[in-house]
Amino acid sequence: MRSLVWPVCRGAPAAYCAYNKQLMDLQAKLDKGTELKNTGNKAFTSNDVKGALTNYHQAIFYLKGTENIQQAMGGVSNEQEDPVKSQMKQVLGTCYSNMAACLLKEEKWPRVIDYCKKALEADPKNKKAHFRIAQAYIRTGKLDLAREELQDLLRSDPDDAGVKRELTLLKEKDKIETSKEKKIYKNMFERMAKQPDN
Amino acid sequence: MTPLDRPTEYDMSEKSQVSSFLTRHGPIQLASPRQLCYRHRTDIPRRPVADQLSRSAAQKRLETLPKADQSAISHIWSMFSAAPADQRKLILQGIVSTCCMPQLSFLASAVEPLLKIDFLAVLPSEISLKILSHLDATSLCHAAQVSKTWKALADDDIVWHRMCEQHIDKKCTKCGWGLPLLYKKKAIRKRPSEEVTAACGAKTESRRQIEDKPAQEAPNKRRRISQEDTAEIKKEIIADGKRRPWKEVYSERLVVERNWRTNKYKMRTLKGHKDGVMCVQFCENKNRLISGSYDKTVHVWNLETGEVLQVLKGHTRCVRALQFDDAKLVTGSMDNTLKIWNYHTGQCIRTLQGHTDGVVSLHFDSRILVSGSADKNVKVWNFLTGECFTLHGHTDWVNQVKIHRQSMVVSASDDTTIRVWDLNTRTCLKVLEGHVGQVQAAIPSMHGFTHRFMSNTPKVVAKTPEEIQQEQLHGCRQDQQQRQRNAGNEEVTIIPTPAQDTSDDEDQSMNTPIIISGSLDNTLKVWSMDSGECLRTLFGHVEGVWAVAFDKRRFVSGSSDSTIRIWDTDSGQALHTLQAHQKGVTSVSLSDTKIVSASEDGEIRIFDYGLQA
Amino acid sequence: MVQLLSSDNETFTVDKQVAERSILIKNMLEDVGESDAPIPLPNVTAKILKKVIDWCEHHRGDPVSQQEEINDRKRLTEIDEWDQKFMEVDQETLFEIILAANYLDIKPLLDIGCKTVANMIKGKSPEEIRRTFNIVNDFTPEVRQFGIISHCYFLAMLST
Repeated sequence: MRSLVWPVCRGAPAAYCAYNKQLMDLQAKLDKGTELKNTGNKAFTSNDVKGALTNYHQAIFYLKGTENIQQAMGGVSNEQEDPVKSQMKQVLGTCYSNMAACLLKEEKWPRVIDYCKKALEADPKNKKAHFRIAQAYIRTGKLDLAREELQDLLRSDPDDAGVKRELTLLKEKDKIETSKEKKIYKNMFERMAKQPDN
Repeated sequence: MTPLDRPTEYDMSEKSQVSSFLTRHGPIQLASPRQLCYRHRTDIPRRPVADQLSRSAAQKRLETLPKADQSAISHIWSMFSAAPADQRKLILQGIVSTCCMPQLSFLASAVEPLLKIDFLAVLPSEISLKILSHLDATSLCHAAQVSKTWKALADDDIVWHRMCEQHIDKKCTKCGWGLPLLYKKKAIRKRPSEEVTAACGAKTESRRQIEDKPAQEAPNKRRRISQEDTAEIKKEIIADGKRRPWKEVYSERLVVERNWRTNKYKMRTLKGHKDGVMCVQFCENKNRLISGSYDKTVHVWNLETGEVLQVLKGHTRCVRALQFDDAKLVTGSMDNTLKIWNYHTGQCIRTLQGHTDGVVSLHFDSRILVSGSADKNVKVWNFLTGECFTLHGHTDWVNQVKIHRQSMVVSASDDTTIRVWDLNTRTCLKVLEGHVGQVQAAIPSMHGFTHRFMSNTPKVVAKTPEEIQQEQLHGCRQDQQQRQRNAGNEEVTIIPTPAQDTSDDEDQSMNTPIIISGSLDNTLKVWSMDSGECLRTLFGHVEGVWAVAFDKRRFVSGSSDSTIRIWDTDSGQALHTLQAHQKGVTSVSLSDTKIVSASEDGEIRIFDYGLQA
Repeated sequence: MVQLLSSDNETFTVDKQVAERSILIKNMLEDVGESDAPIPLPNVTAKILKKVIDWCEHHRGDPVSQQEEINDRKRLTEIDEWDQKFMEVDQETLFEIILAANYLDIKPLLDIGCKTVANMIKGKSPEEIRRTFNIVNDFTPEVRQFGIISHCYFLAMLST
């Protein structure tokens, strides 16, 4: 107790810090977030998409912003070195990825793209996220981006049936696009042909 | 006996209250030592606290008090420091409510400096970078001198990348600086990694304009080359090995821009022609300068070393106009012909006959060649088909022709007019009148050119003579009425001109194409291509203007008074005057770092504002 | 109506439209639909949450523009009057608002916060910046000198 009694205060400034104990610390947040993610996973496997999404969203509330007010201003400063923070990032990435899966079922493609991008920020090597974003790109007309993603995936997994299936779909869509373009140019050339030469 | 041995004035029960308080709250405080609030963090270097607030000063003053008081005060301090945050707040509330004015003002002055936070040490880096990217270059430099963490962030590539984006090859809306693009032979630019830019918000899609171009010799070009201006806007090449931080990129261009502003240059002279040089063009990428002269020859120079690589002979009279690109050189001469050369080998590939008098000017693009002649005609030659057609209209020598956006031609003539022609219909669209002397040069603005030449007069609509008369009468009457009204006032109100520029109009006129012309009446004029009116007249030369060249940041004119004037694109003011030659300047050419001028005295001068100036 | 629960267990009831200025909350409501349970925000204290809600209420009618490009192009560090007054708080609260805006994904509020801080830095010499934020100059004297020289050159070029 001596260290708390004034005036003996050599080298222990920590003793005077009344850190707000009502705020959860990082570890508690990580735990809560992981718990919610697991609940979400269970809901997803039993086809309760809404329930899964609720849990994932809640998990994000806990895991996002490892820099909350007091903690940003307190605690260990270096993000990279803090294992708890990097774990939180990982779990966050998984949540986003799984949410993308949920929304894939509901066919909300723009949102799938959003969430996949966030998942890839957290973990650029997440293959499922790459695959899902490719699927969403195809269905929203961004064929070039889809092609890039699928080709990357094919290179690392040449036998993946899902990737092959999407590539076939992509080819079909491509054909439709090129035939559309051809029509446009055909009309243009016909019109030009009718004009007198200079 | 020590003071502590004497019975104190305090009850034993009070002492036990204190210690029980400490016991209750003490352990919790020490539980998680890594979680410290900002004030108590050990890793952030902090300014030394003012004397009156430091613990050691308080300690010293405590020791001057009687022992009983010392004990009481130190108990108060211990209990406060042991209390959890919400209870501390409560304690403070109570204390503050019992404070008198002197204590309150002490608190206010003491606390104010302590409430400051070094945010860079605290906020996540994406946010810090966001904050820094709102700063201008000067503040960024100051920020980089503040402390080590600040330097690391203020010098960060992302921030400077943004700065470069805002300033290079365009005028920044905030500070008005526009930095040159700078072609460089061996330039390899660093591109910040994708994820970092994503975090910071800088879009990868909006990269069309920023990157600097390495030499066109580089073999592996990136896939997406912008269609419009392949010469200007390309994706950069990332080569392994040498990468340069954006701050360096920025500062290099800043040096060049500064040289321009302070008119700091290095001058070189190329001698070799035996008579006046009439036309000149150079290309920094290919390191070539080509000039045509009264001595009937065309010289091909190495731009860096100044040595003559080729002398092209073939014309039988003065070479008045030339232009070259990657593949060919086209020259026009007073011997009525145009010749197409391979300037690497020196061979003349073709000769185009057709004009009945000397060819005074020419301009070509990928499909057509346009030539202006002393026979008052403009001829348009098609490279693919070999056909040629003629545009009639001018009543005197056609001194300069320029192709505009692939379908229009602007021509300047000794008949003091400038004509705009449409190539599809082969008719004259507009006649720009205003000069009182022979117009020697007229150049339309390039794509992406912005300016602030506002239309001063209300939009002129073609009127019938009766309408004009009526308007004049009406104007007179209004004038009289105004004067009667103003009879009593000291202020003289001007008849309000209709259609004052609204902000919409302002924005629009920023991008409308203009023509800049120079004439032997000693002036330059800026015309709006859409309306055909003269937006500005620039005075300054004491003799006729023979040549004009311009880019997005400045225009340059050469005159027979042997000076070159550099004008500011925005204000239209003459920035500098270069005493360039002994005799009149016949031709000027401009790049990001150089002005090249040719003169009747047979010399070519290169004014270099680049990095080595 | 939506209920928001701050980290120190205070509940705030707000309009759905107001709550949806936070993209984080908006996405959740879109995906999951409304529910009676309050939305837990473990990273925002009541004091800051109140401020943020105030801001959102005031700006509830603003068009939610996805166009960052417009802001990028204009890039003026001008803040409108109400927002300026809103941001006249002590530094700790300012940073807490910035962090909360980042967490809740309210871009316009984050922008305003960043611009406010940027305005606190603009036009100040390094020593003045240090005084504003209570920062220690931890450069060695040699590095300090070098920094001054290299930046002086830079700054001299800008100050024509």
